[in-house]
Amino acid sequence: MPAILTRHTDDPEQTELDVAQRRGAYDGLREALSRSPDEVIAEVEASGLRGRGGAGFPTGRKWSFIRPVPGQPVYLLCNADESEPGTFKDHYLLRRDPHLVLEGIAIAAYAIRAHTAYIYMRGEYASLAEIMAKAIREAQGAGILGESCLGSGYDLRVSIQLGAGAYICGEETGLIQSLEGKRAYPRVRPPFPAVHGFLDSPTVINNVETLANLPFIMTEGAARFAALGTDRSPGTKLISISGAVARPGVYEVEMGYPLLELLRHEAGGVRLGRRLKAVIPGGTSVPVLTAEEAAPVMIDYESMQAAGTLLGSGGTIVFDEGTSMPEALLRIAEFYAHESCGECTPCREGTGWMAWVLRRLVQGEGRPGDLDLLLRVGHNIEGRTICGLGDASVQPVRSFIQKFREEFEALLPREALAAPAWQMHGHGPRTGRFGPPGEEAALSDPVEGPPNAAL
Amino acid sequence: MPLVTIDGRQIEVEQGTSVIQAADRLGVEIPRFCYHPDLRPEGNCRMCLVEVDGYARPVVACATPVADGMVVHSPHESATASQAVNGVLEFLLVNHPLDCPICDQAGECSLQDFYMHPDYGLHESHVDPAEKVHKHKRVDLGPRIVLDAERCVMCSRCVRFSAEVSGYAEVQFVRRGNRVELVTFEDRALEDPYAGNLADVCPVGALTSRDFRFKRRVWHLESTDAICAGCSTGCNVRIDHFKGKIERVVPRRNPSVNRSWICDEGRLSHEKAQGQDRLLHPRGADGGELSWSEAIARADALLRGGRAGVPGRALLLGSASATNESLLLLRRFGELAFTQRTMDFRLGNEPELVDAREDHLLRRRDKHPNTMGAIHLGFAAQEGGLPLHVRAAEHDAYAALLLVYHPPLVGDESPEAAGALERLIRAVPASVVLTSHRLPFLEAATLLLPVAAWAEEEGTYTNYQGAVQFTGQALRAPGAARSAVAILADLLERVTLRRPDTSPKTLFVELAQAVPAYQGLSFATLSSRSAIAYPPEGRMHYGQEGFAGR
Amino acid sequence: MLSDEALREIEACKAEESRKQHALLTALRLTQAERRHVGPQEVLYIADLLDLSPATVEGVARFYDQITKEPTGNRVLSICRGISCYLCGADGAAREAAAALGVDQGGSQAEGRVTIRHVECIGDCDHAPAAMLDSTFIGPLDPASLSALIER
Repeated sequence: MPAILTRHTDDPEQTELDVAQRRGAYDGLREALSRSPDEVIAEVEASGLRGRGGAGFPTGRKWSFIRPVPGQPVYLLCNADESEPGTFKDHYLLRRDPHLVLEGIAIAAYAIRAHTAYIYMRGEYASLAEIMAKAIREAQGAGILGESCLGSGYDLRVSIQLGAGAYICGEETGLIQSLEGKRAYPRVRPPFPAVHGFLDSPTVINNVETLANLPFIMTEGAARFAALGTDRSPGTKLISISGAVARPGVYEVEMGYPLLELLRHEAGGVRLGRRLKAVIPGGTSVPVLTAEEAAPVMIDYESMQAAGTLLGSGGTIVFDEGTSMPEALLRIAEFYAHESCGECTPCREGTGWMAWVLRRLVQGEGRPGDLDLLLRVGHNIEGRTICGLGDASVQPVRSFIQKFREEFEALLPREALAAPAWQMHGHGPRTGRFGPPGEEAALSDPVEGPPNAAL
Repeated sequence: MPLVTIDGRQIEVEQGTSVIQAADRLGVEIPRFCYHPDLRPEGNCRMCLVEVDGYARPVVACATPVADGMVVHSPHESATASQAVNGVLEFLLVNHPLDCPICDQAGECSLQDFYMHPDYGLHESHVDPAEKVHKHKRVDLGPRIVLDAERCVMCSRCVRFSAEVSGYAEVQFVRRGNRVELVTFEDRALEDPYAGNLADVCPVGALTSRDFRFKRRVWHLESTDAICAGCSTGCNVRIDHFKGKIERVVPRRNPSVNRSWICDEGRLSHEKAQGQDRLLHPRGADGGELSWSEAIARADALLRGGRAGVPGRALLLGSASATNESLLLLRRFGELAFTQRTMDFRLGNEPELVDAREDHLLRRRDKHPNTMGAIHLGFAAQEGGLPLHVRAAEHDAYAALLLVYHPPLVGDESPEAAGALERLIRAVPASVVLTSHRLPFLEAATLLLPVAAWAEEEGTYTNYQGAVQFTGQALRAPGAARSAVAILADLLERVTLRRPDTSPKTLFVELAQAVPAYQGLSFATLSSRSAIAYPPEGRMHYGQEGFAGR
Repeated sequence: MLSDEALREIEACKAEESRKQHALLTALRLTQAERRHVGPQEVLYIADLLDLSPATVEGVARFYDQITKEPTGNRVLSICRGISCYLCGADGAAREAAAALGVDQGGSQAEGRVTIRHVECIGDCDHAPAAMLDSTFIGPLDPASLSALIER
């Protein structure tokens, strides 16, 4: 399998600058600096590289929206907040090839005429930040970064900002807010970050994996990159595969590679030889696929879309036959309820409401109409929020219920299935809203109670 | 300029105008919590969702700029928008305590109003009232504001006001998701001198005014538009009153004067205006109460002995808190009654302070609403002011004094001015004082005439910018007190033997003729909104500097 | 209240950009690391340091899960409850871990030595059930070896 990103990641010494440089690290930056920024943008546009953070927006196009304003800085922000459940590909790159990421950052910054770049890393990646900080120090010491990168006259400062535990910081305007030292409430668009971003300056936010593709594009050329993968999804993709799988891990595959092929061969199949029940192919924010639906799906943006889901972050979560889908969905819904920033109404109230209804369902206290209620709440969230978290929270709920409805219905009390909704409404045993119903549930209660506080 | 169609009606607006602004201009009602014309849009409440032709999903009207040819459908005519707004309303009630019967916001609660709206209201809720996230209730945030965090819809208007407008940044959200809660740090009391605005911007019952809480249901109130008399800024306010008593004063939006804000001192200044120490009856030097006919006759006799054009060297001291109309009559009386007269209004250094800021927002150091008007009406022709007049009086320069006096409604009269006034009154043989309040330094006057205080008399004030603004009468003056205009008209009638027409309209026409700066102003423009007149030297011209302190 | 090293780092962060608030997240992180919590005194201290209102600092502090109002133990064991870890038996492992350390779930061991936090996906799903001891990834969580790990 052709590799762009993981060529050297098996060698622990790849984190050392001299080792990495012997293998061509920063050759791509040297190439970029020998051209004009616009030429670099054109090369990347020609490569067809699309954002690997989840949205798949063409990277070169994103850069071309930047219009520097005299007297105002331009910023490049590297999104290393990787928080999408089931995704750990950036973790892999940051740990194993920090100079590849750093080189990508420098190329992108040069292209958009930024002289300051921040790597925003989730707080849980503090140990990776140390690796990254060492790489920055080495690169600065070697004259690669800092003043006059590689003797080109182009200056670039790269800093690391660690987060402190909030999923929403991976959303690009949430990230900007957090970097500004604020509550990471996403911003309403327009204006877009390319115009009013970090500290109101033109800003590009690129994902770690996206940036790590740039050295290859600069050294090997857009054509060689575009020759990989499919027509509309060129290049490779890092797939983090986890859950009920024999060999969980990060695998680089050429776009267009069959999803189940990856599961069976590279990842060793479903663990304990069990049967596949379902798979989420792009992090929890995309619709789940049943085993049957997953069979023909290829790992590329178009094939995923045709199957009714999304490539997303490439976080592939495997569910085996023994999994209770309602319980798994409850866990996912609790994640979104916990992580909703609370800024806009539908997401703030809707994610909590969905988690609450799912919890009573799983606890055997479901009410008639609960499944339709969940779908209706989802409908009222979708498309009506400031950022994508609202939509993301709806995808698992809707797809799980649609595709595994009988499992959910089996949880409803028998009389609840028969009785008209109005008769049951407001009756039945109840636990406090989000209050831990008992010791058992305390572990999975994401919402109230101080999970982080010491006693 | 882009042409936009909203619910079938077209309007051309400037580039950058948002859909909600265009709709407001057209008079198409778009429901909203977080949007406020004087705060940066945040788009968080999602109540202003509208359908736009060619857009896949509803968009928020507050943060969507209009584009030429855009066709917008509000929830009044779009089922898609109506359903979206309805869904948002339902979400807002998931954790709302539904305690309307005991909520003092009733009658002016946006949530309640939207809930009942026929086009997008929520008539079938799936919310279970038993399951709520609980938050802090009835938190005293100092003398002005009470917080009920459960009623909060997290629209962040108060947070934005506090951070961006007043700059105190004292209210903030904590936590995330449906646990988000509005707090002050450790429940501290607000120090913001503009804290009252937090209750004004709150669209629901989360932040309520402690002064007004449970005093009165809002639908029982009568309202009168007025101008705050607390300083020279001239903030536009609305007086809400009930049976002759002011229940509250709230800001009225005027983008070029006070936007949507007033300071707490101004908000409460009515307490002093309508306070305990009012002068209720005309009173002679002996302390005896007089009827008005006796009082007017005695005033006339004291000032000019019943003769017009007396060469009496009179001092006419106007008030920078009097209306332009009363100052006009005072001036005319001076001109007709005396061959020699000195007119002034300066008790301190009002003219120097008139546009001096006390803070970055609204408050000014000149605590009089009409210093500019007094200047425009020629009340400070000579150098010197009050100290000069005291010295002159003590050298027997004046035979008579006619003083119109209103105490400042914010703060007290300076001891220097009070002392000087007392010396002046004692030095002049005949002193007639029109005052709203009983004050020790006026006690020595030969004749005290009770005059209406702020909100008891209509007329115009000219603010520091030169904006001529109409202030209404909300209350009847207490006791026998009368408007300054009425009293001065009586005195004039003694001179001319003909009572002047004191209707506001006539007086304003005369004012516009008498003051060069006011030429071209008409009462019609004045009553709709404040007319802006520029002082002769043009130095008070209104510009962006008015709010540059943000 | 903070070490010279932390103060230097905050100063450096402040100097990076024109707005001091940019350094707030860093200040909160360093305070949490050194003082094990960001309580009212810490909020006032940071507010003073960065010229912000206490409410602003409080609002940001209470947004992030890793900043705590109450002090944590000397060590923090973060156990992932992400979907992948859930599928790999995280609930059971967490119960066993709590029992092995003699800590209430979501609480601290006696003398405030260890705090257990249940956290959302920490991005180490290939080592499910994933966990972190302070900032070190220690998945897959092995309750039996925890005590030894913490002693080290």
